[in-house]
Amino acid sequence: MVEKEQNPSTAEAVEAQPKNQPENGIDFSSVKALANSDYKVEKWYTSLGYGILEKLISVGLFLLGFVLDIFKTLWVIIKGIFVGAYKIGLGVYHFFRNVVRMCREGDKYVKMSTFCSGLGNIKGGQVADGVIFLGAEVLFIVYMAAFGVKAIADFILLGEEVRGYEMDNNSSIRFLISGVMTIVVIAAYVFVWYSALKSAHDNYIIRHNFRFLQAHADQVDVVENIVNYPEFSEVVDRVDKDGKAYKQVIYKKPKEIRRIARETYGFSKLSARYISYLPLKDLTERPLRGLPALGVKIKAAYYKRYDKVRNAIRNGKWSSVFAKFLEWEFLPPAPKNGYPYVHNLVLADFNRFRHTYDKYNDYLSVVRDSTSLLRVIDNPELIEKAIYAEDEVSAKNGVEPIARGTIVKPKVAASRIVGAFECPYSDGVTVATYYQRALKEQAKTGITPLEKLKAIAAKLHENYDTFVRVNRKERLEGIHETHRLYGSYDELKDLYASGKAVFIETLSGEKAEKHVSRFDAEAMFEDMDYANKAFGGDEAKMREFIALRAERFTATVDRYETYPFHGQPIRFKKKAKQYLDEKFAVTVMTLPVLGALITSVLPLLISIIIAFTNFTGANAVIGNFDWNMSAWSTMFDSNSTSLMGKTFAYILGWTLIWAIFATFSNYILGIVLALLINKKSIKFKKVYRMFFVVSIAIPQFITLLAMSKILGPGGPINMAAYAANPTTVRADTWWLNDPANQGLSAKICLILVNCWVGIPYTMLSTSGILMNIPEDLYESARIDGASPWTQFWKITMPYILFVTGPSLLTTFIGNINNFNVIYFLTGGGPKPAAMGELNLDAGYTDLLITFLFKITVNSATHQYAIGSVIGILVFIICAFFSLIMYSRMGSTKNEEAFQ
Amino acid sequence: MATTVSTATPVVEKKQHHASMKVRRITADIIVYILLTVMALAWVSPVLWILLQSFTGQAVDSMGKWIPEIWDWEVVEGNSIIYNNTRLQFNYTLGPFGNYRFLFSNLVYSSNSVVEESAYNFFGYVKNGTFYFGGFMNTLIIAIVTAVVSTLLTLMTSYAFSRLRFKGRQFMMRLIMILGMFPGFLGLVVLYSLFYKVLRWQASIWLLILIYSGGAGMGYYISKGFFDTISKQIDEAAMIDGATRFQIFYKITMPLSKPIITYTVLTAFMSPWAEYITANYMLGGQNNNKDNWTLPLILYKMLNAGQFAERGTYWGQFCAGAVIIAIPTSLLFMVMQKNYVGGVTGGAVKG
Repeated sequence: MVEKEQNPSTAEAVEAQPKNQPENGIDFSSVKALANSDYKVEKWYTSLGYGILEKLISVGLFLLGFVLDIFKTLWVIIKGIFVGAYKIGLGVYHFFRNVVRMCREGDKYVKMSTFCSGLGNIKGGQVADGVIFLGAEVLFIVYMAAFGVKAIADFILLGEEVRGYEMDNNSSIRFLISGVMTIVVIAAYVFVWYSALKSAHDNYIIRHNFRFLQAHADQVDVVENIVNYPEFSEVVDRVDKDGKAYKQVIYKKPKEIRRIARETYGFSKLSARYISYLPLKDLTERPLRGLPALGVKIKAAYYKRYDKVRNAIRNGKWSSVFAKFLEWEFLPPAPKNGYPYVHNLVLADFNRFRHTYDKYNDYLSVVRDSTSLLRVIDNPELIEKAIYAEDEVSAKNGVEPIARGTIVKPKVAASRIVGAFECPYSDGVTVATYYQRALKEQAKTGITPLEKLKAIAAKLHENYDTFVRVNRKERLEGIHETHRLYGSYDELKDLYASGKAVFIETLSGEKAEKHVSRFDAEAMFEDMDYANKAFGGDEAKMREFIALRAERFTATVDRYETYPFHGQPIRFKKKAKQYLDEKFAVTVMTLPVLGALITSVLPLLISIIIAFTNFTGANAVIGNFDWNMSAWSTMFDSNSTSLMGKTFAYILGWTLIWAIFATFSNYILGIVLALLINKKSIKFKKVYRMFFVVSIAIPQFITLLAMSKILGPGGPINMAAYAANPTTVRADTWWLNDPANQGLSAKICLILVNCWVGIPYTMLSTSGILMNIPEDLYESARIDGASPWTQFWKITMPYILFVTGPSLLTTFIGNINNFNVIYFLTGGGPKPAAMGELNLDAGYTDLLITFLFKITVNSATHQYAIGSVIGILVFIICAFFSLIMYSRMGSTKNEEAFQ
Repeated sequence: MATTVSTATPVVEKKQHHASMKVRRITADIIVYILLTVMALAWVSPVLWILLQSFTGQAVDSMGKWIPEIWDWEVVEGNSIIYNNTRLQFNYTLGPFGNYRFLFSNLVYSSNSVVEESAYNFFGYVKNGTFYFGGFMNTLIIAIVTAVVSTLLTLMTSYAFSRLRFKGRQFMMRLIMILGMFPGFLGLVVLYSLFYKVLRWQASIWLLILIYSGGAGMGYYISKGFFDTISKQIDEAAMIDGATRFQIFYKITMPLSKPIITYTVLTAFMSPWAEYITANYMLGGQNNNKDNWTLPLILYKMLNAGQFAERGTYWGQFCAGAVIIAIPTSLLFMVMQKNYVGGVTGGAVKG
C-alpha cells in the first residue's frame, strides 16, 4: 500500500487507490473510468503511431504526398499563368472600355481631355489639377521627343545600326537601361493620362449632377413659395353662368413659364424646365393634393410595373426581401463598373452614423449612471430617513419607523431608498450597502454613517468632475450636441425607409440603373411618380421626398470626395490635405516604391532582359550587341567549348547537396544544442548561451574571414598539424583549396563552418520555443505514463517542428543563395587540377549564386547574359521550392492543437 | 494493467532502482556539461583568437599560433627579445595597443620590418594637412544615414500594408515576394552601369547609402507582423475623435511600436556596417577614390596588402580592425537580443 503511494505516476496506483481507500469519502470511480476509457488512447500524441509498420506507412505517405505536391505545384504554376494572362487581358479590356465610356458620357471638354490632358478639369474649375495634368503631358511629350523615341528605337534595335554613337563598351547597357526607363515612363504616363481623363469625367458628372440638384432645390422653392412668383400666373376677370364676376388665376403654359423663369427670375435653363413641369395650378388651388400633373407624362408601362411590384410585396411574395431591407441589412448588388446606387451610399453613410451614434450613446450612459447615483447620495439625511422608514413615502405606505442604529436588511433598505428617491434599483442597492457598511464600522472608527456617506458623495463628485472636466469635457459636449442633432434618429430612419422602399422596387431593373447613372429627366419623372403613388398623394411627404432626393444627390456628390455639395471643385489646398487622410497610402508608399523601383525592381528587370541578349564583355560594343537566345542554348549545351552545360549540372547538384546539408545540419544540431542548454538540471544556462551568442554578434564578414585564415595555409590548425607530424603534413596544406576528390575537404570544411555560423541562430530561436511549450502537455503525458524519451518525440519535437517548419524551408532557400560563406571561405575554389573538367571560372565549391557573381563580375569575359540566365534559373528553383512549401504548409495548418 | 502483480516488488529493489537512476542522471549531466564546454570552446576560440591576435607584435607569421608569441608592448624601438632561439632587435615602435594605433595613423610597413610614414593608410589618413578618420567616418555616416532612411521606409511600407487598404496592395506584396526569390546582386551590374555609365555620377558614399536603403521597404515582413498585432479599435476610436490617418500613424501607432522601431533601426544599422560585396563592387574598383572606402572594404584589402600578404603582413592590424568593427555590432546585438528571438519566431509562425 505505502510503497504504491510513493510512486503514484503509474497507472496501477491510480487504479489501486479507489479499491483500498474508500473510507476517505472520495469516489475515484470517475477517475478510474477516465483512466480506462478510450480518452487516454485518443490523446493526439499517441495517435502519431508507435509501431514500425505505422512509421513506414507514414513515411511512405509523406513521400507520396511530396510527389503529389510536385504535380500540384506544376498545376498551380500552369493555372497561375492562365489566370494571370486572363486578368491582364481583363484589365486591358476594362481600361479601353472605361475610356470609351467616359468619352461617351462626357461633354466635348471631356472628350478633348483625351489628347489634351487637364482641359476638362480647367473647364470645370479645377485649374491647379488641370495645369498639373497639362504640365505632365507637356513634359512627357518633350521627354519623348528629345529622348524617349530614340531610346525605344535603340532598345528595339540594340544598336544594330551605328548611328553616330560613340563606340564605347558602355553604349549597349545604356541602350538597355534607357529603353527600360522609357518604357516605365510611358507606363507611368499612361496612368497619369487615364487619371486626367477620369478626373475630367468626374468633374463633368458632378457639375452635371449639380445642375439637377439645383433644379430640384428651385422646384422645392417654387412649390413652397409660389406667392413669390406672381409672373407665372395671370389674374383674369371672369363672369360665371349666373353673371357674377370673379377673378381666375391662370397659369401660363409651360413654354411661357420656362421663359419667365429664365428671364425674369434668373433660373438656370434646367431649373426653368423643371419648374415648368410643376402643376402650379393645383398647388395654388388645392395645395395639399399631390402632384398629379407629373403623372401625365409617365408611360402607362411604368404604372403597370409599379403595381406589379407593389402587389408582389403585398401578397408576401417579396416579403423576405422587404423585411431584410427594413432591417437595414439589405444591400442590392452594386452595378458592375457603373456608378453605385444612390441608396447604397445612403445606407453606408447611415451605418457609419449609427456606429458613431452607438459609441456616443455608450459615453452618455456612463454620464447618466453617474448623475443618477449622485442625485441619491447627495441627500444623506433623506437616505437615513428612508432606511429607518421615517420619510413620507413610508408614512404613506403605512410602514412603521424603526429605531435608529438597527441593522436593516440591504434589500429592504434599497427598496425604501428607491421609493424615496424614485431612482434605479441598482443605485438603491449601492447606497444601502454603503450605509450598512458604515454602520458596522461605526464602532471601530467612530464615524457616523451620515459623515461616511457625505465623504463618499464628495469622493464620487470629485471622480465625476474629473471625468467630465479633465478627461471627457470636450467629448461630452460633442456627445450632447450630436445627440441633439441626431435626436430624431428613428424618425430619420423611417423617413429614409419610406423613401427608399419606393426606390428599391424601382431600382431592381435596368431602368433604375439608367435612372441613377444617366440622370435623364424622364427617369426623374418616373421616380417622382412612383413616390407620388407611394405616398398616396400626400403633398408634405412628397416635398420631403424631393428634399430627400436632393440629399441623395449630395451623397452621390460626396462619393467623389473631391467635390463638395455646392458643385464647385474644392480648393487645391484642401485636396492636398487629403494626402494626410484618405489618400495617406499614396503619401506613405511613394518614397518606398520609388526607392525599390530604382534600386531593386528596375535593375532586376533589366537583368532579366539581359538574359535574352548576347551581352558579354566582348559584345558590349555596338554592332555585336543584339537580341539573342544564345545564352540559354549555351547554358544547356554540355558540348560547348565553355563547358557551361556540364558546369551548370555539376554546380546545380552541389548547390542542392549543400543546401540540404547546410540546412539540416544547422537545424538538427541547433535543436540538440538548445535541448542540452535548456536541460533542467544544467546550471549556468545564460553563460553557455552567451558563449554561442558571441559568434552571432560579430559581423559574419569578420568571422568568415577569420575562419578562412584558421583553415588556411599558415593557420593555427594547419601549423599544429604540421608541428605534430612534420613528415606527412605539408606546411602549406590548404584545407579549403585541395582539388582532390572534387574538393571534398573544402566541402566538409564549408559545412562545418556553416554549422559554426548557423547553429547559434537555431539555438536561440529554439530556446524561445522550448520555453513556450505549455507545461500541461508534459503533465498529462506523464500521468499517462509516457517516458521522457516518448515525451521528447511526441511533444517537444512536433511542437518545434510545427513552429519552425515554415522557417526551415525559408532557410533552405536562403542556403541555395548562401553567398557569404562560400565567397569568403573558398571563393568557390578549389579549381579543378586538370583543364576541361569545369568552366574556367568555376570551382568545385561554387554555388549557382557565387558562379553567377564570378562570371559576371570577376571573370575577364564578363558573361552577363549567362549570369542572367543563371539568375532566372535560381529564381525558378527557389519559386518551385517555395510553392511546394506553401502547399505543405496547408497540412501543418491543421495542427491547431499547438496554438 | 495485467502486469500490475509482477511489479509489486519489495521496497529494497525500488530504492536500488532509484539509486541507479540517480547515478545515470548525474552521468548524463556530466556528459552534457563536457559536451557544452567543448562546444562553447569551439565557438569562442576563433573570437578569442582574433582578440588575442589584435595584440600581436609580429609583422608576419603571427596567424599560425592561437596565442601570439610576441606581444605588441614588447615591440619598442631598441628593445630586443629572444624568439625562436634568435635575438630580435626592433627598429620601430608598436607599443601597447600598437595595432589599433597603427590603424589610425598614417604608417605602413614599407618592407617586412621597416615602418614608414605614408600619405595614406587604413582607417585614417592625412587630408588637406589634417588627420582624418576616413574609412571609419565613411562607414559610420553610411550606417547611420542608412539606418534612419531605411527605418523610415520600412515602417512606412509595413504600416501601409498592415493598416491601409489601397489599390495594388496585394499586387505589391506578391511582387515583393517574387522579387525576393531572385539572387540579390543580380541587379548590381545594372545598378553600377546605371549610376556610373548612364547617369555618369561620381563615386561617393551617398551612392552606397542609396543602394542600401532604397529597397528597404521590401523588408517589411517583421514590422508588418508587429503592426498587425496592434488593435484596430484604437484607430477607429481616434478616427471618431476626428484624427486623420497621418495623425493616427504619427501620434498613436508610432508611440505604440517602440520595440519594432528599435529592432528596425538596429538591424538597419548593422547590415551596412559590415557589408562587403556591394561596397566593393560600387566603390572598390581600381579607378575609384580610396577616400570613399568603408571599413569592411579596407579590412578585406588589408589581408591581401603588403609584401608578404600570404603570411599576413597586416594580420595584427586586421584583427584590431575586426575588433573595432565588432564592438558596436556586439553591443547592439546584446541590446536587441530579446527582440531578435521574438521577431524571428514571430515571423516564423506567421509564415
